[in-house]
Amino acid sequence: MKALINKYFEGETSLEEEAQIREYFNSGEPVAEDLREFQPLFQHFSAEREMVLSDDFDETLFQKMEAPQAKVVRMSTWPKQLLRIAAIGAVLVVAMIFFQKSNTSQAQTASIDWSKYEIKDEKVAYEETVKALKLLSSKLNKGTKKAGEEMKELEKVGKYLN
Amino acid sequence: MNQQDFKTKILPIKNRLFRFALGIVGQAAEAEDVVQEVFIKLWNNRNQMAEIVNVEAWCITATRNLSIDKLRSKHQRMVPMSAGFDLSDQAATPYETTVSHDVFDQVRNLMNRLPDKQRDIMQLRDIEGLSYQEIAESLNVPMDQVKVYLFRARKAVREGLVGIRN
Repeated sequence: MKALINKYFEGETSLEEEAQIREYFNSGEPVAEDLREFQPLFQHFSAEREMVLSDDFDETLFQKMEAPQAKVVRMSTWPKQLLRIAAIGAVLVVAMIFFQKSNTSQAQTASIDWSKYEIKDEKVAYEETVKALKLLSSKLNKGTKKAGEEMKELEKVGKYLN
Repeated sequence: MNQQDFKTKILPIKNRLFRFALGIVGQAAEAEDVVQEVFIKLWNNRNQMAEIVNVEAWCITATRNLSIDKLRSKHQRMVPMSAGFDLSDQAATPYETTVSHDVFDQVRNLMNRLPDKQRDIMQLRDIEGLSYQEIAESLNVPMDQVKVYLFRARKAVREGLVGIRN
């Protein structure tokens, strides 16, 4: 059996020989001491083979198979054209409203006198700067951590794309 | 193909497809959905199926593709990543914190940690008992490569088993 197992790990066994190995480890008979470390692997293979779909799988499947397929309904040309014109009109209206609003807010911004808010005391200015940099660095760290986590997830998907 | 043909020729491989999907998506309910979708797709295209030589290989390919789509759309993850970003200093993933100390689970983890192609091939060979030819057709990988991947997978698992023992 040891020779057969070595052959298995060399990738040289036939399907029949692999079945023999599984049978050896799953028979319930005592396993040789030096082969005991391989037992969980071959027991795992046999246990996995026992995993099956739920009992109502066939029933649900045949119900869905018998249901008529959804058909793609094509729109006639006239309402399609009308919809296109309406969509373009809607985009133009939204764009106009947006432009008008942003112009108004710019005008308001321009009228603020920022010199009133400027910090004159050097010490206070220094403290404010340190505070701002601290806040910035904490956000940066958050971003790096999140990016790392996302990369881990992406990698799992990415492996399949190769 | 009528429903009787479907029942005798296709339905018997349902559990094989289920286990294969489960290996990728990691959740039984999701894997069940995948198999159902594959069969319905096959049924809806049954008129073109006569041209396909190996329907089982077609089903395995479709199962793999659909499982990956599900995984991608839900951003699900069943195993922690081994390479890439080093996040060892950060908090353990939910997966890692719930790892069981049971030897059986450890074997499952060993397989899940293999690169996906190696794991897919090991599963189709060692659990489903497919020939090299069948695996090559199902995964669209040359037969020599199937053997190479399988050899690497078994080697990695052997090394892992020694680690469990020690």
